[in-house]
Amino acid sequence: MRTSRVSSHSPSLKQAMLGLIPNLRAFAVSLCGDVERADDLVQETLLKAWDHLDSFQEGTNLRAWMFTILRNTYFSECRRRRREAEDDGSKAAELAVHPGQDGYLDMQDFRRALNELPPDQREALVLVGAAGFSYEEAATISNCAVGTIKSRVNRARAKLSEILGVKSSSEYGPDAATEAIVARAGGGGAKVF
Amino acid sequence: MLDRALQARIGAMLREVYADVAKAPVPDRFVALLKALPDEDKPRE
Repeated sequence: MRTSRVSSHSPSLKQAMLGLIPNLRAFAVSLCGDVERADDLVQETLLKAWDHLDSFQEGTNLRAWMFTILRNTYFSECRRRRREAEDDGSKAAELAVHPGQDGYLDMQDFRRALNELPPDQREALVLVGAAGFSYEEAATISNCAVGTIKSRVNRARAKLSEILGVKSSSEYGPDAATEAIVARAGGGGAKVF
Repeated sequence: MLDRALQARIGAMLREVYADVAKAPVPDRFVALLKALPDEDKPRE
């Protein structure tokens, strides 16, 4: 079915999509844990979006719409991989996080910890805490209730704290653990992915 | 009870991990892909 609406708005829509790619890649990497797979996911997302433009309402949130396509593609691919018994999730499981000898956290530790979260928690945390969506938008993207997003975010944060080896200030003492972590602020850490 | 400073640090690291990719230039493959996409709906299989 040809739609003149699509052709008359195509150039600016393509520009808008181009502008979204960095964010889509960042979200995809957080879901997949590796850049190569993430970029394949983004490619599929762009193709699907273009294929289903008739279901996108001009003037509504293109970014949220494309994030929705991306995460749906990711999760259905995960289900397919599980059915094909492809042990992709083992990658994250192998990378056990051991806090550095000096107890400091670097970005590598954090990335690994993030990859250990259940995907739905990681997704919620990234949507709200990094991609800048509201809880309501995140709920729409993830096709769940706002309360569900909130509990996933809370659980993600608690799990990260646990994985990173610092359960609570009452357990480890507020100063040692917190200072070690706060002192790392701006340190950057290893950029090795 | 989640430690405030730790939570702030987690938030900062989360945004840094995300920004790491979001700041990167768009790979050529995507520029090429968008260019190649037809401007009108074409019948697909």
